[in-house]
Amino acid sequence: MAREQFQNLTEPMYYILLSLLEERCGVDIMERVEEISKGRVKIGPGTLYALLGRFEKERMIKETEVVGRKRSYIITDKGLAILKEEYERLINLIEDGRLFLVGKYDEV
Amino acid sequence: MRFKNTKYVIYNFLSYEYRHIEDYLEEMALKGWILSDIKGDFLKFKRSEPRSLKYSVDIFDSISLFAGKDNERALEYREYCKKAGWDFVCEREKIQIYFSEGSKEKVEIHTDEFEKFNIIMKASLKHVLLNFINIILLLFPEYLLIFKGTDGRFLANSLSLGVLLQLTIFATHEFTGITNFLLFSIKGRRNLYLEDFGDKNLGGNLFVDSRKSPIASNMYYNNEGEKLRLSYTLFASKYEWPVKYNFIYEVLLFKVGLFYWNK
Repeated sequence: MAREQFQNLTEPMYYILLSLLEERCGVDIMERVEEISKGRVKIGPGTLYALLGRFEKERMIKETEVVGRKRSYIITDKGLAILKEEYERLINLIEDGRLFLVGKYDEV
Repeated sequence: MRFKNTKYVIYNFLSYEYRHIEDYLEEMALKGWILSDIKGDFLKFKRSEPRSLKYSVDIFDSISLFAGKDNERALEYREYCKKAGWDFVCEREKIQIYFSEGSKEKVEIHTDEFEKFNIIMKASLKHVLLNFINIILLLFPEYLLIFKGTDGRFLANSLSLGVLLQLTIFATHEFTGITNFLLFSIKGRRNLYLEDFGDKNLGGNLFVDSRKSPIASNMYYNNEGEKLRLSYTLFASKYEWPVKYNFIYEVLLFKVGLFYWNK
């Protein structure tokens, strides 16, 4: 079941991967996610830590350097592929929705 | 027990009971008793001004039960929590206790309830199974003594009777813990379906057996999907004893490591 776990990314997962497109220290991800999502998505430290561990195990991110207790991570090719796939899936969702929703709004 | 400015309270809890202890600690802080340390079942409080604090009892499953205090990983984790506004107080095995000023703005340690549930389940299950094995090992000699013995002379022995009494109390206590844990896992898992795991139902193979009596209810779900197969049994009751009775069978069916993403 391991691989199927990441077929659909949850919102926190999506944003964590986005913020790891650049090399970043794990602790700073929380701030970065809030910044990218303009304060809409907040990730708690426990959730973040658990997800980072799982991403690393699945080789979607890799550790780049360890300074003291701070570990930095960056996305891997595999992670990037999954992220792009999700991005395209989301675009498809929007496209499909537009057919039905935009027309209705125009009439109003 | 209470000394001048220190107070010790016995508080036995398992990982999954984190909410009770959070409430209890917040209540104590309002009365002016601030948690300072935890040793086994003893909570140590220090006297101070009554404060409104928010506690978070967190389970950190990435360390082993025997990792000891201030493990490297735990220290790293604490930095994550500090950044989010939670200060570390003390720890016991996998349990880590954090606090934060009541008025301070902060993000909860776990923003994903299912993620949290998975962590707690994993951590608790190990604990509960260890306890269970413990009870069986301790009760087995007593069982031999009472039901398989050749005589009843142990009834004339104060020591034997004393041990029996103690073990009974201990076993009752542990069983209550296990039962509560079972109820917790049932509550958390209610209504999980194949679709919840992002899988597609192939249809045709769905089999739900649902029975209900005045005493208890039982539901069996089994379905085949494109990628995986999901099957589980839910047993619930208003009373404690049917669940206890059923537990011995259910424990064999427990599935660890099911991941639940979207709802």
